Amino acid sequence: VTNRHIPRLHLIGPLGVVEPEQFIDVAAAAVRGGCDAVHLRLPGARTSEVLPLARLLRERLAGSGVTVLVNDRPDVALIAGCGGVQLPETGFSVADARLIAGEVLIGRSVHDDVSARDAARQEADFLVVGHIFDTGSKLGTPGRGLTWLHDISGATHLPVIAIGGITTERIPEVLAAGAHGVALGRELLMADDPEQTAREARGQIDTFLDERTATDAAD
Amino acid sequence: MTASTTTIDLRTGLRRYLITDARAGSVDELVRRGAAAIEGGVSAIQLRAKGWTDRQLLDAARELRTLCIASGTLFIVNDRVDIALASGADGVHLGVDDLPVADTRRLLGPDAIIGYSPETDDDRLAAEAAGIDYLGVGPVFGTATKADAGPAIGLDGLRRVVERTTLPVVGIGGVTIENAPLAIEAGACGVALVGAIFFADDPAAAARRLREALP
Repeated sequence: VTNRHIPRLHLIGPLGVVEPEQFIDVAAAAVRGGCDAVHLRLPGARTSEVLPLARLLRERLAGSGVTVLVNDRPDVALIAGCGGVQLPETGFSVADARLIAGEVLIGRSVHDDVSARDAARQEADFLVVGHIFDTGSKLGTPGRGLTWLHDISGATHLPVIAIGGITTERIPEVLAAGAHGVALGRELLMADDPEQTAREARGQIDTFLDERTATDAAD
Repeated sequence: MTASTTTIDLRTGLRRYLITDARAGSVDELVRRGAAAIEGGVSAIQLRAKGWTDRQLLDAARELRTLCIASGTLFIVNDRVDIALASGADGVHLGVDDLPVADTRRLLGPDAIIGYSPETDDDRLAAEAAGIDYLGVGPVFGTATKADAGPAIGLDGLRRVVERTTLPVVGIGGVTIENAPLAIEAGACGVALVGAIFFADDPAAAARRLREALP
């Protein structure tokens, strides 16, 4: 079992939902509200767009304790000095990513238990698993649901970060299904007040963990 | 970098330079066409397959890398420094939209080959100062492969860059087996081709004809 600290409240963006520059502000607000990981995900973007944004993000969030993860690109993470890489199912192996980016936090996105076990064998630090609920970013593909999340969370020892249509209200049931934490995209990117939304999400996580600790103690 | 082929004289290695294309459709087909071109005598291969997944790129890179080591062919990866590192490529080829040259050099080390396609003279000078090893210059002739390549600079444009730089220059853009010798006459050490070899009915035969034209 990993001894790394695995963040529990992840922001993922800009995803084409907000402008790249705006994403820096949303990320800063979300981190003030309690996000402890920010994933830079710009599907289809040129390297010349991703690298400056990764650098800006890291500089803006320096000193906050948050981990900035670059999606797909271990070379960009290394050059920008980011603390992590998030690998898609079709991306680098964990070993290759470590070879390039060094001892950074490495997450692997998976969509079934076979990929989850494969990621565990490769010693990923955590899994991003989804999508759990129906979401506007995956129209036409229904959410996989909490039972599925429970099964995949039990498939490996790796911490699972659940993603996809997760509102702050639903965080307790997601954690109860076995998730270590949650990743929010549109839920934070489109929030009127991302800091407040992140604070509510963090409150839900902390409350759930406190109650579980209390329950464990009572047993 | 394992760099087993970097001892090849760079100008010689860049002479017959094949660039792959995503329209091969699959890793197997890209590698098959690349292998045929190597058999026919290209001296360098650049893996370019825009839009492919990292896994596809890496699979193709590793297969091409193995073929290139066995044949003494230079192996260069377009844009992706991470793919170059993971596959042990001889180097990367960068453009203005890719990773900065200085950062790339820091990651790949002093022995890696870094090529660069400048858009302006200032751009070229900055890249040279940052430590590139060769230039890709064009489009020399009109090109059908890259819609965004801009107007052709012609053989005069190619010659102008050759006169201003001490680095090896590879002519690119609309190069065919027929017009390739013209680019060499204009001072290029080599030519980069995509369609004329990669999409030829018989890439090995096309590469052989190129070798006859540019021995």
